[in-house]
Amino acid sequence: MKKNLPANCPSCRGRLSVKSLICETCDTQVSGIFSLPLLGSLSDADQEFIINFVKSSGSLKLMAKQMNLSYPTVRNRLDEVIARIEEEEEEKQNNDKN
Amino acid sequence: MKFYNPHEKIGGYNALYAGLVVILISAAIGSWLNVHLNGNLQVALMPERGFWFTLAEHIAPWLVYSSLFFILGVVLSKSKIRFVDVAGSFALARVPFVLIVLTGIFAGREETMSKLFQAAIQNPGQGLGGVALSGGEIVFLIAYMAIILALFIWFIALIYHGYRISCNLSGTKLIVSFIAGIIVAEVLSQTLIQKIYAGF
Repeated sequence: MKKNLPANCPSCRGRLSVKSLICETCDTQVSGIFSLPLLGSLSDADQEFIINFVKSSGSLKLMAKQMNLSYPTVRNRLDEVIARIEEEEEEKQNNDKN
Repeated sequence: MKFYNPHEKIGGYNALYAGLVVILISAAIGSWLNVHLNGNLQVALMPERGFWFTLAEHIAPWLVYSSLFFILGVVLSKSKIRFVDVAGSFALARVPFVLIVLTGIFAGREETMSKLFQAAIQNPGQGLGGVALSGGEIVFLIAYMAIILALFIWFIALIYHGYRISCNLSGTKLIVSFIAGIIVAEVLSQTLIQKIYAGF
């Protein structure tokens, strides 16, 4: 069963950080306070879009062909992802200041 | 693909080429059945004027609408707008006109239509008093107007979604600019077609 990595606290919607990481090979556990990478804060659909964008070498035309969508629809989708990334960056900057 | 929003699947040059074929077909049928356009929101039966004149009646409003809504998109949208996306979606949006010009097959009923509209103009407020209408003529008139209205509504839905997707607009900005754009574009289209009439 696929589990989704939560980015926000279910209780107060605050930004979650990583407290421990574990090696599944040798059971080594690493503890601390680590920030979630920005891309990890995005939804699965946005992450998949970004991966496809990179694999298409940034060609929206190729992506449109692969996704069976029109070029303007794919371009609009990219603009939405960019807007969400900018929101995440702004929120991260505000959290760092606090 | 939704019949009122094909633009999610077809856009850009593909939509433009498909739309140009649609324009050619509707102009050809319109020329054959003597159905003429005065802008995008008016249709009339008129004497034969030839294929090139009819084609100009279809091309002119398409170019006016595409150009105006492209300018609106450049001004209002945060995205990079391409003219080919706007023009393509607006060309593809002209599919209903293929059916609108086909209503010219009712040309045999032109006498009925003229009789009805003349009566309405000459006897305002009296409806169609004084005009003898058969039950069949009333049914025909209602059905004809309902079909034309439905086709124009379909056209409006298509250009709305074409504008929304090709210019990446939403909310109040989209609705207000769309309504204002249609009004201005229609006035400009009709003015241009009147110039075309004068030239021919």
